[in-house]
Amino acid sequence: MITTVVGSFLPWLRSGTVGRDSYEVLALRGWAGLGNGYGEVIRVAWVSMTPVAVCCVLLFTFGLRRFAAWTGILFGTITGTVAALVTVQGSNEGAMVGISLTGPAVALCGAVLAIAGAITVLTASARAATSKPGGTP
Amino acid sequence: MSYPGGGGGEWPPQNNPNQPQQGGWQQNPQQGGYPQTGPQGFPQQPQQGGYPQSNPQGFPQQQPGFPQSSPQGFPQQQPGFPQTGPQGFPQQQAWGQDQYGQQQFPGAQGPIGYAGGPPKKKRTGLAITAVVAVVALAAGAVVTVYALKNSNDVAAGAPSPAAAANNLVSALGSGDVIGIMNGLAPAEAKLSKDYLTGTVDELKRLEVLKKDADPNKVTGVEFKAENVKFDEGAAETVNDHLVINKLTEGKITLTSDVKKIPLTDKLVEAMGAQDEAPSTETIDIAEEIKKSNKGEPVRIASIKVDGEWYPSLFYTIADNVLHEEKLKWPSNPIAPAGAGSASDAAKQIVEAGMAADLTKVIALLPPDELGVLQDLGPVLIDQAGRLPATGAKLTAFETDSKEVTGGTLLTIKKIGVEVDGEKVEVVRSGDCYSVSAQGQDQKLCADEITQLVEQQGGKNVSGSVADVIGRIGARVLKDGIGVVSTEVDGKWYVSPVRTYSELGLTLMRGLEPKDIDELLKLAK
Repeated sequence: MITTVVGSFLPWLRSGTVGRDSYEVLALRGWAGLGNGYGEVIRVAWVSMTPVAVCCVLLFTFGLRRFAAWTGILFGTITGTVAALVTVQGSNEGAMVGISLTGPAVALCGAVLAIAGAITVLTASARAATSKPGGTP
Repeated sequence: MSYPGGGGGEWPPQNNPNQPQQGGWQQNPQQGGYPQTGPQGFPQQPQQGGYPQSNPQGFPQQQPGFPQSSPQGFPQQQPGFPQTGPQGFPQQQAWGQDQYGQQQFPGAQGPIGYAGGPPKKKRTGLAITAVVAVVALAAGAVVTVYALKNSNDVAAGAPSPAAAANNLVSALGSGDVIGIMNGLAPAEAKLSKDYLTGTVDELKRLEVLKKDADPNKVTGVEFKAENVKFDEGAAETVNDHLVINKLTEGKITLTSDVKKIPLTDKLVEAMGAQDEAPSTETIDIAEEIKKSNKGEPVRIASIKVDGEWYPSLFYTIADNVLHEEKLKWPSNPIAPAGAGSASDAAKQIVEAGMAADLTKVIALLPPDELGVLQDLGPVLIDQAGRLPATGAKLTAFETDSKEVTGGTLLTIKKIGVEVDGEKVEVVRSGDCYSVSAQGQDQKLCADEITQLVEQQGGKNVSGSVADVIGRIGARVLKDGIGVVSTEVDGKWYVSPVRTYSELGLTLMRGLEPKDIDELLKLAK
């Protein structure tokens, strides 16, 4: 999750020699014609990924591992989908304005790791539950 | 360390650094209990069960949760809690440790001081949990606030005219197209953005640009600016919202490669550019100023919008024209005077035009897009001289409205004009226009344009050209002729730039890809 959050602060858009992180790209939504309600929803949704990651850490810390795992899957799915969509757009080499792969690729790796970790926790929880007498899977 | 619930007093015996410390909750033998350290790092007595005891080598001992100091003054690593070390940082005696790192349990009396169950491990876990929670919350809050701030959709204005000019130069220098566009005066940036996408879409449909051309990705042109400098001391403050910056030196390098522009192959072939090598041109601003500008620096205008400064293309053009003509910016601009509705604005500008009231026409232009004309107004009127009124009177004015990007397109439904007692009336019905004048009616429909062009043009106009003209004319009649009105601060104005841009798009919509082929043949 930290990897994904770090990735969100790495360059996602390249304009000339200037790189913009995912949040700076969102700040351009008005310029890109997304200054309406949809743009704001996208912005809030993306920014709220960090609080979601914090929730996941807190849930895990307080022993609510299953909830934490499902939160992690939610986090990984959303951030991973966005990062994957941007990554497959390519780097647009030669264009003065194009996608920078650094941010999306790092965020995608983080998202995959988050999902893998969440699945591991869920699997371990299920095994632990079934191994206990009277435990529920 | 104080243990609430512990019923004892100070832990006996008092620590003696020269005696092996049995430490812990109980002395000898030790059963259960807690991490202990022997002074000087001596091994402890065998312990029965319980928790790890001494650290024979006197190495830092890890005891999560509670700060300690090591007997030898070595810092101990305890995740989560602030550690005070021997480097001059205060030790936390209050946690129940003496100078040798032994734990004192003021509330404990002998072994019974353990009262309260085996809480330490549990409490250690709780402490770690609390620390992790606090750290996670703090880090999350910081990151979220930073992300919210960075993603805020604010205009990229600058606090001063010089900063605005420098931002532009910085964006130019790094080839930051987005920075350039975003840094321009908001209304100007919006104008270019609003029509860029529509124009690119039409050019793709007409097979001028490739299907994958993206208006947001500029290819084929590279721009680089180096060591560009403004003479800040020479900046001219025209009024409270307009400052002219003076560009004095720097190098601008422009590299263009036609093959990288997303033009279709047929267009590249027609241009003969398929074998053209990339070209690079470098302009030395200081040299150009000496050679072509009579030593005058390049003038770039910055304007103030909503408290922030932006470089302005329109004001820069206007200022350079004024400077060329040796005129000055007027001190009393024309105040904008919008109408109550989009249709009213269109009607008022038509009436003002008929009355040759240039002041009224300029006042009806949108102050955000064309505030430059209002600032220039007195000079324009002075240069235009006294215009005679047409004597025409508007007798009818009805419009149809349609929302377009950035405004409302008003197309004429009915317009009546009376000149010298004679009335002319034009009424639109579908894609046909009826004209009534001098008691006669004439009707022209979209599908009759081609025929009309062929009749009027005779043999001078080829069939294909008549076809192109006919199709464009038909499109104009179908879409309607009109003006684009925009709303600024609750008032409506007529936007000439948007009107012409919309008309341009309408003409392009009337074309077909084969028309481009015909035009290319004619060009050859």
